[in-house]
Amino acid sequence: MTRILDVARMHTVAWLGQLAWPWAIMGISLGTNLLIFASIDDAAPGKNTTGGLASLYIVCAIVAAASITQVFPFALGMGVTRRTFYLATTLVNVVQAVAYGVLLYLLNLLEGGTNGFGIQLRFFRVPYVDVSNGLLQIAVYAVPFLFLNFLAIFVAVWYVRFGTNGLFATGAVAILVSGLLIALITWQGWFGDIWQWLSSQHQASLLVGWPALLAAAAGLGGMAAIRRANA
Amino acid sequence: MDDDRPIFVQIAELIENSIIDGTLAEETQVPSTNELAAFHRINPATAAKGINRLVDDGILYKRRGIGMFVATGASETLRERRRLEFSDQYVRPLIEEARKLGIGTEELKKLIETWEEQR
Amino acid sequence: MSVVAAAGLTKRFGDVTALNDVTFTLTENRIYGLLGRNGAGKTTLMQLITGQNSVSVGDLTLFGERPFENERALMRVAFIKESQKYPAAYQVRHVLSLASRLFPNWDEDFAQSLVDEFELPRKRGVRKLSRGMTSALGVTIGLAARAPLTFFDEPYLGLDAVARQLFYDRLLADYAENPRTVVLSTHLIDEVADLIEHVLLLDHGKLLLDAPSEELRGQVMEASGPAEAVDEFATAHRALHREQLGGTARTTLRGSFDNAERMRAKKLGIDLAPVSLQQAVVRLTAEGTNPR
Repeated sequence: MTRILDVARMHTVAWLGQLAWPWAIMGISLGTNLLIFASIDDAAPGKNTTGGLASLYIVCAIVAAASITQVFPFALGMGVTRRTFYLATTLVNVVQAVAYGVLLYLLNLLEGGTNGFGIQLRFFRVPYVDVSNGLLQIAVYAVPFLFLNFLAIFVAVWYVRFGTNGLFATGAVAILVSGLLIALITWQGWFGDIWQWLSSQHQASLLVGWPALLAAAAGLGGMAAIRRANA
Repeated sequence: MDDDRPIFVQIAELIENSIIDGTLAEETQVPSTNELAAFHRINPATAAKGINRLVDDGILYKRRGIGMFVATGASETLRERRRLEFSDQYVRPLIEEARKLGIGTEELKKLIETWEEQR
Repeated sequence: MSVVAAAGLTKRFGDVTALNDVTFTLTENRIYGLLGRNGAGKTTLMQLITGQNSVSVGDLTLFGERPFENERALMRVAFIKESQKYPAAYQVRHVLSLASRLFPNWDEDFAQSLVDEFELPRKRGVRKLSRGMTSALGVTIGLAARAPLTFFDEPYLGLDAVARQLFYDRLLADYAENPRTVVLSTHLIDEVADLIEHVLLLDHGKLLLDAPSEELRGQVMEASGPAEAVDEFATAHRALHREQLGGTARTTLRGSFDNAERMRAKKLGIDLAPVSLQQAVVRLTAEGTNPR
C-alpha cells in the first residue's frame, strides 16, 4: 500500500502542472460567463444557463490521458510494475472525483445561495442533473468524472500499447460498429423503446448507477490492456 | 594504468617500489584497497588482488580491524628478489639487442664504464 | 546467490530476433561491462531484466525470481537509460523527491551533493534541461538509489569529459563503500576499461564473450613483424584481423600467450603487444560480423 501511495505521488507531485489546469480553465470559463451574462441586462429567466462546467470534465479527461502517456513510461523506468501503477492511477482518480464532487456541490450551494452570483447564472446548477439530495448531487458530479477519466485512460493505454495506427484502427472500428448499431436501431424503429426505457429509470440509477457501471467497465478495460503494455 | 601487464600486478609492483625506495617504511600502514582504487581509478577488486598478492608473498600483513602493514624485512626480501630477476629482465635483453647490432661483449663493457664515468 | 541468471534467453519482436539464446549469470558486488555495437541487443537485454518487456523463450531470474511485474525484485533494481522520458510538468526536484521514495536504499545526502556537483538546477523543468544535464540527473538517481543491481545504459550522452570523470570517480568511491552489482553499457570502453571487472559482449543478439576483463587483456594480442613469420606464428591462434604493408604484417590474435609462446614470438622476430579492451572488442565484434 505504501508503494501504491508513493507511486500515486507521481500524479500529484507537480500538482500545479498536473492537477490545477482543469480548475484554471473552468475558472476562466466561469469568469467569462459572469462577464457575458452580467452585460446582458434583460436576459429572460431560465436563459442564463451555460455548459461551461463541461470544460472542467473535458480538461480533466485530457489530464488523465496525459498521465498515462507521460507518467507511465517514467514509472516503468523507475521499476514500478504496471499493476501498481494502474492501482495508484485508479486511486488518484477516485479520490479526485470524490473531492471534485464535494467541491462542485459546495459551489452549487454557493451559486444557489447568491441567486446565481447575483445575475441568475446557472453554471453549477446544470438543468436535469441539479438534484435536491446532497449526497446524490455529489455523486452526480463525481461519477461522470470517473467515467470520462477512465475512458480517457483506456484510450491512452491503448495508444501506449498499440501506437497511433492501433488507436486509429480501433477508433475506426468503433465508429463503424456504432454506425451499424444506429442504422439497425433506426431500421428496426427501436428508438422509441429506448427512450421509454431511459425515462422509466430511477433518477439515481440514470445519473449515477449506469455511468458508474460504464466507468467500472472502462477502468477494468484499461487494467487489462496495460498488463502487456511497454513504454 | 596502461602497461601491458595485468593491472593487479602493476598495483603490487607500485607498492613494492615504494617499499624498496623507503617511501613506505616497514611496519607502516599501506593505503587501503578503496584508496588505491580511487587514486588509480580502477576496480576495488583489482586493487585487492594486488594487495593480496603481496600478503601471499609475506611483504604485507593484516592487522585485524586496522588495515595492511609492511612486514619487517620486506624491503630486504624485495631487493633480494629483484636482484634475482635483474639478470633475466635487464641483462638478457641488453645482450640480445647488442648482438643484433653487432656490439661485442668487450665493447658492451666499455659502454657501461663510459656511462658510469659520465654520471 | 546470483543476481541475474539467464538461460537460453531469446526475445523476438515480430520477425526480428533481438536476443538469441543468451546464457549468463551476474554475481553479487561486481562491475560489469555490457558491450556491443548499436543494435546488438544490449538495451533489449536490460529491458528484459528490468521487467520493461517480457521474455519470448528461455529462463530469466532476477534475485531468484521472474522479473516481469515482480515488485519485490524490481524494487532492488535501478535502470538509468539515456532514453528515459519524464512528464512535462516535472522539475528536477520532483524527480528526486519521487526517486527518494521509490528506491529503498536511497541516500538523500549523497543525492543532494551530486546535484550540487553536477550543478543541476533543482527548479528547472526536466524537459528544459540540456542533454548533459538530463544525463547528470539520471546518473544522480542511479548513484543515490544504491540499488543492489544498477544499470547505466549510455548514461553519459552530452556530458563533457569533466562531468564523465566525476561520474566515474563517484561511482568508484561509492561502490567501494557500498558494494553492489553495476552494469555499465557503454561505447566509451577505454574510459571504463579499468573499472570493469567482467565483460559481456553482445553481437547480433548473441553473447560473443563472457569473461573477466583481466583475462581478456592477456587473451587478445597484436603480433607484428615480417609477414611470413607473423603468419607462421598466427597458425597457433585465432586470427581476428590482419593487415599488411609491404613485407610487414600485423595481426590481432586470440588465444593463450604463455611464456613459451612469447619466447616463440621473440625467436621469430615478432613484436607481441597487448591491445586495449576497446581494440579487443572491436576486433572480436568484427570477426563475429564477418565470419571467416
